[in-house]
Amino acid sequence: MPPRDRMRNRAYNSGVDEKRYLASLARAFGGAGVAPAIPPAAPVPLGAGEEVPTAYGPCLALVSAHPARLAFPDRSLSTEAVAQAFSLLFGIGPVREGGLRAAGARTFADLAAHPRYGPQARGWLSALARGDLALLHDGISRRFSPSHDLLLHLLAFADREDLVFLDIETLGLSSLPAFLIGIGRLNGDGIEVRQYLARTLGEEPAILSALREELPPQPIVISYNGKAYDWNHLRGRCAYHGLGPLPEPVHLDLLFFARRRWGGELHDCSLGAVERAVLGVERELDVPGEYVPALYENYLRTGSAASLLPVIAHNREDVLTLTRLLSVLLDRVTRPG
Amino acid sequence: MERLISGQDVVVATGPSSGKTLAMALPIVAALAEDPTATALLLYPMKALAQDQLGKWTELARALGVEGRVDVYDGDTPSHRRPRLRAEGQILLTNPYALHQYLEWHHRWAPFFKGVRYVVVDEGHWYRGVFGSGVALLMRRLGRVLARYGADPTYAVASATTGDASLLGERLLGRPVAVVDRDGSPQGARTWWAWDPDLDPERSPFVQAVDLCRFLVRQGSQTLAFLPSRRMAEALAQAVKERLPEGATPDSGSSSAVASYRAGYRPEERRELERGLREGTLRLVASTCALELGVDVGGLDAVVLVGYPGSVASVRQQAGRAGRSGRDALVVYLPQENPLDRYFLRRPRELAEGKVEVPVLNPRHKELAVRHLLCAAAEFPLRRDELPLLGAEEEDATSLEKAGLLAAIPNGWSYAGRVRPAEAVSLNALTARQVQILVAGEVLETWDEHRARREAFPGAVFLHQGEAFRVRSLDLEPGIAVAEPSTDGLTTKALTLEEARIERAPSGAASDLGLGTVSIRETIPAYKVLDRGRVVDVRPLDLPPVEFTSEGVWLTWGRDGSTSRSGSQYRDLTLATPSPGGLHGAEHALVALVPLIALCEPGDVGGVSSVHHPDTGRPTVLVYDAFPGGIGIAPLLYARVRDWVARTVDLLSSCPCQEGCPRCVLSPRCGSGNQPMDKGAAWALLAAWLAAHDG
Repeated sequence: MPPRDRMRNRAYNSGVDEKRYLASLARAFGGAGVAPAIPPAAPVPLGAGEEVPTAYGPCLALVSAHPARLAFPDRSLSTEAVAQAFSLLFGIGPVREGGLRAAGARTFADLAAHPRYGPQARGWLSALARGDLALLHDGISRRFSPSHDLLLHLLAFADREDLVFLDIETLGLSSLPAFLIGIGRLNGDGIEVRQYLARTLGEEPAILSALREELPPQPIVISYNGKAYDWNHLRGRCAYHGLGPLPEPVHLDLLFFARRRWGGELHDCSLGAVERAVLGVERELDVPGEYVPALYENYLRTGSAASLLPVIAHNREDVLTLTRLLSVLLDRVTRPG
Repeated sequence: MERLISGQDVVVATGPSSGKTLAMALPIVAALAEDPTATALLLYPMKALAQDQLGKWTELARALGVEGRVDVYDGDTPSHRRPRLRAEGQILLTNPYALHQYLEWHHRWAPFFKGVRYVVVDEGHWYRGVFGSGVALLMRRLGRVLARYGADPTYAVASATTGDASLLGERLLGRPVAVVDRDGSPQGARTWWAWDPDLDPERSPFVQAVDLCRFLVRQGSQTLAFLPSRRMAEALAQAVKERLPEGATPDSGSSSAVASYRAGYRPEERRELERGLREGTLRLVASTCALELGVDVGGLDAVVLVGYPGSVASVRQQAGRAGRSGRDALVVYLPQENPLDRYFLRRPRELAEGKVEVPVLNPRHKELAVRHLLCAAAEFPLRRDELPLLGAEEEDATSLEKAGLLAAIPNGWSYAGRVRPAEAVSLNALTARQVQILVAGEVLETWDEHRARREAFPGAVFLHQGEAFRVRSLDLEPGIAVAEPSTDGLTTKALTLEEARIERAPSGAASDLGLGTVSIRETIPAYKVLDRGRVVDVRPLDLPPVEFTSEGVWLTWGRDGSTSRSGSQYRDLTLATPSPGGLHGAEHALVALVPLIALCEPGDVGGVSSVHHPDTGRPTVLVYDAFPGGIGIAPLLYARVRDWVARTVDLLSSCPCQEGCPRCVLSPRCGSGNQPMDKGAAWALLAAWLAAHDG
C-alpha cells in the first residue's frame, strides 16, 4: 500500500500482550486462572488430616470412622444359588434347562456325570468349593448381566477386608485430573473412610500412588457408575502418570443393580435420587456434582478450604451411601426364599 | 526400499503413479508378515483417502501373509469394533484429526502402540501451512507417546514432487530424513504448449478453452481439463457437449463421453468415472483440483490446465495425469489474467522442468507450539527435558502454570485445564478462537477467527471444494458465520489497507534487507463484486481492523534510490527519489510472486510500501506473512530473496503493457485503488536493489 501519514501516528503495543494472551488461553482450555491480587481475609484451614508419604511425594489423608451394618450372604446358601443356575453352563438355554430339571437334576452336582455338561459342572463345583471369587465372578459376568443377583451372592465368598467402596472427584469427565479419592474399608463393626486429597494438582500422582498402596491384591470394588467412570478414570490417570496398571478388580457397580431394582419406579437413577427414595436420606446442603471442579479450582486459587470442605463432605457421604445401598441390596439375597 | 528395511526414515517424493505406495508398502508389509507383534500406523490427510487405500493394503497384507487385522480406524469406526482393532490391528489407517484425539487414550492403545514399527505419512505435500504445522507438532506428540511404550518406529513420508523434500520431511517429523526422488515409472514424451489467449482477442479465454478441448476430443485424444472452480468445470463440460455431435464414434467423441468432476462425489460415482477414463468410454473430463489426489484414472492423451493452479507442484501433479505407461502426451497451459498466470505463459519451461516450491510449515510457531504443548501435557506429564522437542521453552511452561493450565509436579508439569486440549485445539486453526461456517444449520468448515475476519465478512463469496458459498452474517462472539450456496456465479475480493511496524529485527543484517517480527493492522474498507472476473460493484464495509503480530521481510533503498552498497555497475541506475508509485508497484509485484518461492496462496501474504518507513527511516517495501505469528513464509523469502526479486524484475520487464496492468503491478485487492502506481520506477528500483545486493 502507498505510504500514509496515519502509519506514523499509530503507536503499537510491543509484541503480544502476555496477560491478555494467557487469559484467552485460560478461557479456551478452562484453566484455573491467575490468583487474585487480594487474598480472602481469613483463609479457612483444611482441617485435621494426616500427611501420607508416597513414592510420588506426600498427599493428605482425611480419615473418619462410621458405623456400618452389612450382613453378608451365607456361604452355603449362596453356593446353592450358584449351583442351581444351569444357564451358567455353555450350551444350556431355557429349553434344555427345563428338560434337565424334568429329568430330576437340581444342582451342578447332579450334572457332574453328564456326558456333555459334566466337565463344566465339575469346574463350577470346584470353584465354589475353593471360593475362587475371581473365577466365579468372571464366569457369571460372562453369562449374566452385570446386575444379576448371583453377583451379589458372590460376597459370601469375599474377605470383608477386600471390599473397597470407591468414589472419586475430578476436574471433569474424560481424562482430566482427579483430586480426591474416597475409599471405604470395613473393619470390625464399622467402616473407615479414607480420603486422599491432592492439595495441589501436582499431588495427583501421590493420591493415585496412595490408593495403589492401599488396595488389596485382589480388591472387590463397590462403586456407583464406577465401571464407566471412577475406576476407568483412575486407570487412565495411572497410565498418564506412568504408575503402572491397577489390579483387575471384582467390580460390583451398584448403578446396574439400582437400575434393575428401582429403575421402573425412579426415572432418575442417580445416586442422589436413589438415596432419597430408597434410603430416605435427605442431605443438607449437598454440592451438585457439576460445581465440584469450580469449587476445587477456587480452593487452588485462594488457598482457602471454605469451598473445598463441602466437596470433601459430599465425597465422604457418597462412600457411606454405597455401604447403605449395598446393605439394602443384600437384604434380598440374604433373606432365604 | 532398502532404507526402509534398515530402519532409516525416508521421504519418497516423486510424481503421480510412480509406484510410491508400492515402494513403501512392500518392505513394511513384508516386515509385519515376519513379526506378528509389529504394527504399522498409516496416516492419510482425509478419511476418504484412507478408505480408498484400504483395499491395496489389505490385498498386499493377504498376499504376504500378515496375520493381524488391516483396517481403517477413524471417527467412522463403530465403537463396538474399536477395542478389537486396537488389540488385534496390525496395520491401521487413520487421519491426523483422529490421531489428534486418540493420543490421549494411549493406555487403551497400548497393545498397538507397543508394536509400532512403521509410521507412514502419505500425501505428505498436503501438510503445509497451518494444517501442516499442526500435523508436524502432532507427529512430535506421537513420537513421544510411542517412545513411552517403548516403540521407536521408522517413518516414511510419501509426497508428490516437492521443492525440498528433505526440508519437508525434517519439518514434518522433527528428525533428519533420507530422500528418495528417483522416479521409476515408465514415461513417454510430454509436449507442453503455452496458449496465449491474447492472440485471438475476438474470443474470450474461456471460449478458447472450450474450442481447444473440443478439438482435442475430435482428434481422438482422451482429455482431462483442470479448472479453478466447479462452476467453470461444469460450464466447460456443458459447452463442449453442446458442440459435439451425438452418436459419433467413441473415438471422435460424442456428447455422452463428456463429464465433469469435483470433490464430494460418492465412492461409487468416483469408481464409475475412474472406470470410464480407464476403459476409454469417457473422452473428456472437466475437473476441479479434486482429481489431483488419490484417484486412479490411468494415463490420458492430453491435459488442459485452464489457469495456473497456484503452485508448480500442483501443475506437475495435474500434468502427471497425461501420458502414463510410456505413451506420448500433450499438456496445454492456458493462463488467466493475473501476474502469476502471465509469468508462466512466458516461461512454460518452468512449469515443465523448473524448481518446485518449498512447502511452508512452521512447527516452531509459538502459539501453535504452546497449544500442542498442552495436548502433550494431557497425554503424559511433561518432563522438563521434553520441552525442546515440542518447540517450547521453560518460560512457556511457567506462564501456562501461571494461567492454571499446567500444575508443577516433581521434574515437570501435568495438565490442569478443565477442557480436553485435543478438543480445544484444532489442527486447522492458528488461533484458539474459532468460527464455524454454518450452511443450513450444519458446519461446513471451521476457520480460526483471524481467517474469518479477513475472509468471512458479510457478502463474501468463498469456495468450498470448488463450490461457491456466500456469507450472510458473521458473529465473532459465539464464533458463527452463516452462509448459503451461491449460484449466481459472482465472486468477491476484499480490498485491504495495511500498515506494518517492525517490532524486532535481528541486528547485523544487511541494511538493504531485513527479516523480523512485525505488527500488522489490516482494514477492509470495501469489497469488489466480480462477474466472471469483471468488477460489477464495489460495496463498502464497516469492520474493525484486524491486528496481529507476524514475521516480515523488507527491502530498503537509500534516499537517492541507490542501495546502501556501492561498487555496483548499476550505480548509475539511480532515480531522483524512490517515488511512492515505484515502491507501490514493486510491493504489488513482489507480493504477487511470493507463491513462486513459498508454497502458499496469494492471500497468505500482504505488503506495505513507504517512502519513509518510521522503523527503517528509509524508503521501504515490506512483505509480511498474513498468519498471526508467521507460518514460515518470511524466512523462506529472506533465504531466497535473490531468486524472488530477480523473478519479479523479470515479470516487470517482460510484461508488454506500458503503464502497469493486472498481469504485473495492479492488484485486485489493493485498498487504495492501485494509486499511485509507476511500473517503470518499480522495475528500476528492483533492478537497482538486485544489482546492489549482488554487488
